[in-house]
Amino acid sequence: MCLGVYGRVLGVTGELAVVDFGGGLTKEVLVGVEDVKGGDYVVVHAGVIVSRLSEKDFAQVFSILEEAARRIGENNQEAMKYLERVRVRLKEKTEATHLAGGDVDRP
Amino acid sequence: MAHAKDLRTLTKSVFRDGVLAGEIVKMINDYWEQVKLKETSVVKIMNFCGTHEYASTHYGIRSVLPPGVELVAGPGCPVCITPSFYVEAAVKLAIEGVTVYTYGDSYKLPAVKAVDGCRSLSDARMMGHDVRVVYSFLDAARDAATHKKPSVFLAVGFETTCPAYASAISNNLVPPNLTLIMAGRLTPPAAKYSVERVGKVSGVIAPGHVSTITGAGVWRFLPEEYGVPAVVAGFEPLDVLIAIALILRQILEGEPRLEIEYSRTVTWEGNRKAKALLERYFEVVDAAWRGIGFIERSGLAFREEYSDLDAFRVYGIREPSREEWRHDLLPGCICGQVILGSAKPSDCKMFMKACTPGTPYGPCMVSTEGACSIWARMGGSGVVLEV
Repeated sequence: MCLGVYGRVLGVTGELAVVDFGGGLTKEVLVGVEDVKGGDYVVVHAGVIVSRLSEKDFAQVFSILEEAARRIGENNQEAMKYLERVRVRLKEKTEATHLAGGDVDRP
Repeated sequence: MAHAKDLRTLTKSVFRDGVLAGEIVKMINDYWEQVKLKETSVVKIMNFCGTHEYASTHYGIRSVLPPGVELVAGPGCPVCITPSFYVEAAVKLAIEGVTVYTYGDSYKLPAVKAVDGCRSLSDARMMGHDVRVVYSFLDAARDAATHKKPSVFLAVGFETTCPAYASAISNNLVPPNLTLIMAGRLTPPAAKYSVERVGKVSGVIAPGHVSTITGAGVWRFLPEEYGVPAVVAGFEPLDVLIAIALILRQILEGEPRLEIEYSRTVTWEGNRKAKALLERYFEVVDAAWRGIGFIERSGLAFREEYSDLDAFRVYGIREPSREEWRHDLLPGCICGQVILGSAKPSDCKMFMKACTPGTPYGPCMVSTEGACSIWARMGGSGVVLEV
């Protein structure tokens, strides 16, 4: 029931916004957060924007694994190798997304 | 990392990555080995939200956890806990000729008492009454404005959903012929109830989307009053795994606290606009939860000045008081125990026999986020262990 769907705001008119959910699906929803503008990524629940999505926290995955590396690594070298594997994986993922995400680069 | 073009794709790509998941599982195992030596042989983590139960089961998270780490469902499915009385009232109104709008989740929700042979809104529609399924309250408001017949909306939901009602009202989008059966409920009092009454849980994965509205701060009572580690988590498989790892780390360090894992949408203070709207239209009242009973200050009701939007007031329906409330599960149904994490769906004798997603007998088999429905469709695993 509390399912939230990620979407990208195409435009805002007063308290209504048109959101692109991908796959050709767009829907008019109520703006439930302050200062939403076109281009924002948002979380939509039951026809209302409940939150904005920020990208700063993808580093979360890395930081938790970094913490783990400190604990798990028997010596620094081993921990560094582990972290390097994770870093490379995240970089690959991000770059792949850059390539795949060209269609949403609208104003 | 920064400035990916499509955050949706990036989220799915990173937070569903098998290699990264493998690393986090290793970390969980490592923490568990240390926790086991220090503390206890069993760690029971409640994933409060139905969507967390879905993520845990759908992605097979239980199957990769160490044997002593148990995930149990919590009362975080608003359809499952909507009292039978509300469904009966909606069915009765449909039979009397009122157009009833509902979310798809609550369309098949079975009531304890059948009204004219109809036990759910789905039954009422089969009998030819005007029941309409909508995606959002906005859709219902727009539809009701076109036909102008007396209409009600079965307004279930937690803090995530209720701003939809307040926002539509505040923007004058609700036509005069549409009123609401207000069944909104608040999650922190239910979490408190679960922790107080149902025995010890070692940690709580707190609901992510509820917290986008309330702010993560509302869960501080878990570590501060009850010494229970709490992590506000997202709904991708890595989110759940990271939350489990963070809870184990807190147990290991012996310092229960509240952490935000879902920081890409959740803040400490929450959504100020939505909170102000809820405050404007609703007051907090003691309210019944299906299969549980009354929980203090856990419901939302229209403030007196907006009572013309309250369907119960408009149609003269009186809600049962705490004294009048009766256990509202059908005989043999153990949904009350399932949503409090003290039984698993497959403990129920009717699970996948008399009670299936096609013909639900208990409320947890209805919504796609009810624990029984999730286990029925995707299978569960493990047992509920005593801490």
